[in-house]
Amino acid sequence: MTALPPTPPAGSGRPPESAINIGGDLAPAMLRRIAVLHGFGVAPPGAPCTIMMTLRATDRELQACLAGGARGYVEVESDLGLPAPALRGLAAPDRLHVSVTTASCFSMAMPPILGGEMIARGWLRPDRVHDLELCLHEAVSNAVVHGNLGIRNGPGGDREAFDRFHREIHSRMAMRDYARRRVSIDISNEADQAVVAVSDEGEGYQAASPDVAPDAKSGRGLRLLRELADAVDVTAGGSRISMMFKR
Amino acid sequence: MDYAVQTAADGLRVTLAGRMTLVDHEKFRAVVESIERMQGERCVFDLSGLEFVDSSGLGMFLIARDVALPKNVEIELFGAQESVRRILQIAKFQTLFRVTP
Repeated sequence: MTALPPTPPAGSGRPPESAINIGGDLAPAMLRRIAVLHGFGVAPPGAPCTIMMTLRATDRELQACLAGGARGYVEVESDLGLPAPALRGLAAPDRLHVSVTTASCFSMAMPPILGGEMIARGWLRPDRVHDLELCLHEAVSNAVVHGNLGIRNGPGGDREAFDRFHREIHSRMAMRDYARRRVSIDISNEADQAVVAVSDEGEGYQAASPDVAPDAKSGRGLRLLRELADAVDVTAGGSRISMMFKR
Repeated sequence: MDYAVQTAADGLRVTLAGRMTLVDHEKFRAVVESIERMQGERCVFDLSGLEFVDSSGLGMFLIARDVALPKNVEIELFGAQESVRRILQIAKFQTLFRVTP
């Protein structure tokens, strides 16, 4: 667990001027500490911010903060462990970053929200939204199940194997060490395409073969990605999947 | 995902709506149990209200097929919206199921 830096002494002044302001429902002292640690400013309560920090991520809050112009949405536990480089990159207006715990990620439906926001910002052609949504969904599912929960194989086999697979998901999700690992989504708007990258904190995994029998019960996620995105890149030993969508 | 199971003259009609994903395993398990108990030779999945299906959802249809085949029950995937139909096509489900518009 990372120790929090000491609170700046009273009267030491405001956090330094920054291109990035953070806000959210964290205790003001914690927001200030994060701001000082990363060189961010703190948005006044209720004012728009660049990065919304939250104690418990929800679809509703994600949608509201992005609609309000935020470029980042980050779930923060009592300790920090924030994805600092990705957050500093949000000084550029053509990026989005979402970072939530595995437990929250499993209960959220982020792809339709992010797809809608990408269209609203002119980063994605509206006729590609279903492609984006399925690709992002599959990449996030991989990050949760095979990445952060460390479940190597899909359900495969018969009905009993399917049930065992799902019991294992719920069993590991109940363990804090698994549930608190982060899933991060980085979206950047480039000259003629949007790049969507999904990262996890697992130990990496071997991507399934692109050739999947029609009656295989699993292993189809990456194949769908390769069919629907314009390009797919798996890096960091399988812990990061980047997908390109041309405009 | 929301679902409804109704007995039909020739078998079973299962209506699915919303988003069918990894988290719907328990609900779909109930559907599979209905197929296990059903009489008749046809199980129609009405997909007209289904907005989204992921690779886990595709796997669930295959579990249903595994249960239906030994009972000589044919599964029909009926009325899928364009976005869902495209996924069924990519997965080559037309080679495994009767897929109807």
